[in-house]
Amino acid sequence: MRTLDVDWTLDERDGVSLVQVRLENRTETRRRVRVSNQMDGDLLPPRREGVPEAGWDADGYSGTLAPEASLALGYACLGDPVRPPVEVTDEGRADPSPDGTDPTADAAVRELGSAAPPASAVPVDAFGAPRAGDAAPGQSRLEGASADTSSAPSSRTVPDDVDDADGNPETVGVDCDRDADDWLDGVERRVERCERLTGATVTEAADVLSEVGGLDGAETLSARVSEDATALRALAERASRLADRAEETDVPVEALRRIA
Amino acid sequence: MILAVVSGKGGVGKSTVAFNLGAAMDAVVVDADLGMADLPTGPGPDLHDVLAGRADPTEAVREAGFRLLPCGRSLAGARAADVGELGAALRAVEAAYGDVVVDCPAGRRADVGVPLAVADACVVVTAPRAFALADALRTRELARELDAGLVSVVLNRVVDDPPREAVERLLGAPALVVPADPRVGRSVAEAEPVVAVAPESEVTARFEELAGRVRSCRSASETALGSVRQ
Repeated sequence: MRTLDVDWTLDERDGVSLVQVRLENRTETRRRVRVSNQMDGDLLPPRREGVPEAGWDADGYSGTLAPEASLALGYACLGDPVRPPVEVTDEGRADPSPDGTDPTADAAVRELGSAAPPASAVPVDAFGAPRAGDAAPGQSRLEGASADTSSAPSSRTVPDDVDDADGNPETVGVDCDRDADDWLDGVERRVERCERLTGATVTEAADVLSEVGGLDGAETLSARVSEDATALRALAERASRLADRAEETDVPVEALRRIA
Repeated sequence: MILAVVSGKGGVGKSTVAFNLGAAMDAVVVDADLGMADLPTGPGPDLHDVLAGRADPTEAVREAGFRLLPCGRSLAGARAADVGELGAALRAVEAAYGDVVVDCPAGRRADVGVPLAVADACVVVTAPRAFALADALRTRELARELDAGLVSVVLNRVVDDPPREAVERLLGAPALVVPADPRVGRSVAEAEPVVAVAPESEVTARFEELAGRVRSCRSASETALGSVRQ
């Protein structure tokens, strides 16, 4: 006798395969089940607060099914559709009690949500790098600590008064221009990659994903580009304000020459 | 053992209790208030670096008369820190040093939930005021859901006779009264635990008493674990 009824649907949208699976336990005992994804490509499990739901791993889902109960699952896969998309295995009778409810750090993040500040709250300098934080004035410091050998990478900072850096405004100006050009080139490359991923076919997406280092890379890229957008807007505003001020200046060179 | 110091409401003196209790227990105090840290800090890797994968938990622990794992101050650091890694970091510090006291942030998001989920027990700090008690009650419920047993309630900065029995009934745990003493607040600002600078004071006696309660709870849980293992 079959112990499990399995029903599935498969949709393909924009190069992503969307799978729905419905399992029904036909027995009067709790069963352990394994749902294995049969498609190539990264599996995207359902997530809450960025943390995969309990039971999901890179290849599928493991869980238990109460007597005569049903279970609905859904996931996405960045791969070509294969029919059937899943293989369901009945792994035998499970412990009669429900799944362990051991509190874990993952469960806490899933249930309560991360309290990290939003990207828009993080101050950035003109070149888009988050500003290195330091203790606010008046906060106590540990004494006897060694010199700053922090392993934290120092973020790129731009001196406020570049002319003071080495007393040669022209050279510094050139360096700064090159820095700005490098930064803008970097932004352009990132935006181009994002554009290629926007509405891409599977093959195009796969190409870009391999360039950026997989899904994690794509996540980092997307976050970085959204920070780029904020920095670019801030830069554009500042640049246009500066241009207005620059146009309004009028240095009386002749008058100064006469005084000198 | 890992002990979470929580409050729900901010500003009731959670960090000063965590700092001075940690010193009384000779534990490592971890400043886990990722967004608004206020325990002492200094040069070198901090909890932001640990949770962003840039430093080992143990190399971020400072020993300056007391043991502390400080937290960074920047919003960028708070954003880059993965709170999901906090459990592993706390366990690593516990494995290397023994007792860990976690100064948790206010509220009830994951940055409070993760330490509570990992902790063996917790201490709820509250002010003897209705608004603070309501949040203490919610936090106690969260701790219960996450299996962190409540060792003691701390009624902090008490001036008048506090409603101690009412609080004990409400929260279902013994309450310990810490009288208001400006030296306790200064201990964090000056990075000098009150147990070290004022060993004869009333507040030092209270922190020692609290440390004793935590230790007795630890030995009880170890005995229980031992009997389960047999």
